[in-house]
Amino acid sequence: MEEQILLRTLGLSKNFGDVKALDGVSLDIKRGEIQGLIGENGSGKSTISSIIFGIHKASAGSMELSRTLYSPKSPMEARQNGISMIVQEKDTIDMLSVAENIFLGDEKEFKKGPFVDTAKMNAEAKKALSDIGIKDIDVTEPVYRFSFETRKLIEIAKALYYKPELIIIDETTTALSQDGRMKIYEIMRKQKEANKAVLFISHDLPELMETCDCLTILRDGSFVKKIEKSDFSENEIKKSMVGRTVSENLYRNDFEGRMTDKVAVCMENVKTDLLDNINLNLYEGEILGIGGLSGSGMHELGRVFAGLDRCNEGEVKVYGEKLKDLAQALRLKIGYISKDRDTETLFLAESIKDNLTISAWNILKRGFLILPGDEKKFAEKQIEELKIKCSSGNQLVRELSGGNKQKVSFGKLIGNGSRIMILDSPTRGVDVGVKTTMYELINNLKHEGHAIVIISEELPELIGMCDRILILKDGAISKEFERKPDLKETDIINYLI
Amino acid sequence: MKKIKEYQSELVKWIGLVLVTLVFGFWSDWNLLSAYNLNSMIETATPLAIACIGMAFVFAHGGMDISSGAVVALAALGAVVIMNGTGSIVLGVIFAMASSMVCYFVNVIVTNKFGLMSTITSLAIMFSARGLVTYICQNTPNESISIANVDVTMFKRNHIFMVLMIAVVMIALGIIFNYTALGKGARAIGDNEKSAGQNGVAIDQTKILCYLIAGICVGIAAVFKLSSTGMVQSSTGNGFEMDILVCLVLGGMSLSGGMGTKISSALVGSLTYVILMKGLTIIGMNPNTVILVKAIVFLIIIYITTQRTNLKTLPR
Ligand SMILES: Nc1ncnc2c1ncn2[C@@H]1O[C@H](COP(=O)(O)OP(=O)(O)OP(=O)(O)O)[C@@H](O)[C@H]1O
Ligand SMILES: [Mg+2]
Repeated sequence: MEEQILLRTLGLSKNFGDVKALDGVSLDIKRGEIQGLIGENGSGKSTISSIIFGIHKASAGSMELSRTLYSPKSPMEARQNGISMIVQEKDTIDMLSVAENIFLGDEKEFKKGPFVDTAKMNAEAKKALSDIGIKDIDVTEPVYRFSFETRKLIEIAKALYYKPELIIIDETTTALSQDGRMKIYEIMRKQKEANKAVLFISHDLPELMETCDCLTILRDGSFVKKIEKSDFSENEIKKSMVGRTVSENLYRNDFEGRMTDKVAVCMENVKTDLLDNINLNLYEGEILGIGGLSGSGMHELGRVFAGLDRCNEGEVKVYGEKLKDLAQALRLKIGYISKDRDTETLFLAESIKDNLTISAWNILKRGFLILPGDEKKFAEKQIEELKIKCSSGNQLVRELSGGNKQKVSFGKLIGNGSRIMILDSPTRGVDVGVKTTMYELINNLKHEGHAIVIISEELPELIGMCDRILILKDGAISKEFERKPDLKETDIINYLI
Repeated sequence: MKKIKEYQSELVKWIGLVLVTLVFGFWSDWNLLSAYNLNSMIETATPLAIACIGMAFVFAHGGMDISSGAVVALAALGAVVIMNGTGSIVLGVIFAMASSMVCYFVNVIVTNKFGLMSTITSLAIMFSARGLVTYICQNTPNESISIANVDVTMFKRNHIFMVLMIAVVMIALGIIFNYTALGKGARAIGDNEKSAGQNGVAIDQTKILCYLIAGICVGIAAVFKLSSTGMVQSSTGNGFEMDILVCLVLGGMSLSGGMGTKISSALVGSLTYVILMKGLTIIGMNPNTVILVKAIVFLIIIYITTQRTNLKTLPR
């Protein structure tokens, strides 16, 4: 059996300054295996993956690849050794074209004299994309023109182009909608069939239990246990992850519907480049869900709500007032968190405290002064409530794990006085424990009379939390569902595709 | 230990200031700190420090300005004409501030409206203001306009008043910079304009106010400059914009702005700069070499600051 082990880590540790992110983790990844990796936010999943992929260097411990010592100094070297990774955060460079992004660092493959043979590179990029079933992308366009999800798909194409022996997929599925996920599952299956290996990181437990052959659990940087498929049990896994028993139900239990009939936002025949004739009402004291596939326009609809995208035709009325731009949206107390949180919501180079307080200045103000003491109190409350794992409020946001960044992004809106909240993928990459807290907070906000929109790729989340769900398809609303106990994913999926 | 780390950059620049003073004090046999030299340094430092403090608002939000020298000339010209015409200093001062504010207002409005780089707009403002001053001066008998029948001693010889002015400006703008939505918003824009907008910072309005603050400060600086030379000519204020840049950089201000921008950089930087320049002159360095030293200091510090910002952590 020994020869089946593709990659083995021996007592890997990693310190970031005083923070011990990884503490002596040993694990085996076998050929023909899809291994899941799970743990709370900040438990070290991305850290160990980054070490395997050569982004970080381990502080202690070693690795063996096919039984020979392996210590990559860069992702390039990892790729040469047959290891690819799809990272959790955005990994494309905005101004470069799709093709240039795919072959970033490998331009020499396309050398023609002193120049890069662009035509050949573009052709190869097209091929890389069509290999994962994407055909309608112009590879010469700069990537910033594409949606968050498409950029993720471009990264997947890049990772697969090198025909890796081991592919690491770090928290990617929650960034993708149903069809994108299907692609990932398909890729993992093929990898397994070819007797290669997958390390799959996700916070979606049902997904992990469905796709993985075994699960490794990390807690606070340490290995907890490895479970084989035959022994999978949801409660057991959750318990090992968190170290205590977690409540069965993540979502709200009531079916009481919306609180009022007072319209907060009304869209009439809204048309944009991607949206086609949208008519809807959002009420105070309501949680409205919006779902769809990639390219359905669901994220664009969120931007229209927030005054970021303008309508070509039709209008958006907020409390009867016509919405023109972002400044007005803010005046009308519309809060928005973007799916692309790193570039649009957060200040990565700044502290957690500064990030949390910036959207709450209007309520922290005394006269016209914003005092450091008040800021500190406000930030500490959010850090505690959302269990943001950090050394202190002064830690920089860019040093946080993906899920903890998402908590900061979410924390901005809570308690900043917004009456209408547009939450695009609010729980992306957040672990089960904190998800429950977030859902509770959202539900409380609803009862306080806020109008809330949840845009999400995750159908269980929409079904579990929303009073009404609108399904978007090709830019138009294809179906509306009311909250009810027997609503199932399968009922909705038919209207997605 | 942690506290020290937190205030490291703040400490470094104060230590720099003390070090420069000690080195040149020692070198010049403490002649550097003689009453005469102290006074002369206060005179140079006043317009410079005030302008730098105002300019911090522009740099904090990621703006860039190279028009201040020309704006000083224009504002001084307006002030001298008004003072001579009305005999009132107050009107002159108000006019200087107002004309400087107009320059900066036009600057920011054009930049916002047409989405230009702020450097380019300020270049255009610089040429227009400088051109106007040169044109007017060339059409006067002495190619310059002198202050006549008003007494500007207060702005010229009253060193206590000067120090007080610096202190008042520093404290007032320091509070705005650190503890109000305006100052915080400006710094947030410097970090990430997109995020700032979505977090509720009124981008255009904040930028306009920042430029107006810079305008007021440059206007005050113009009055001090005018008073010390007693006249305006086509070369008034030449090189002032570069001095401001060197001061800010010397004080450790990141020229791309951001939440970490410290307004104290403006004050410490300009004091260090004035002492450095004075020191070099006292020890007998040739003025052309002084300019060279200025350039080298500028390059070294730019190198250090850009090195620091390149230390980004890797994507996760
Ligand atoms: N550059 C860094 N500087 C300081 N601390 C860091 C840095 N990178 C990671 N950490 C810390 O290391 C710990 C582990 O982070 P890691 O990103 O591996 O978590 P994760 O398991 O991937 O979590 P998530 O589910 O949120 O993605 C966290 O506490 C994080 O704050
Ligand atoms: Mg992670």
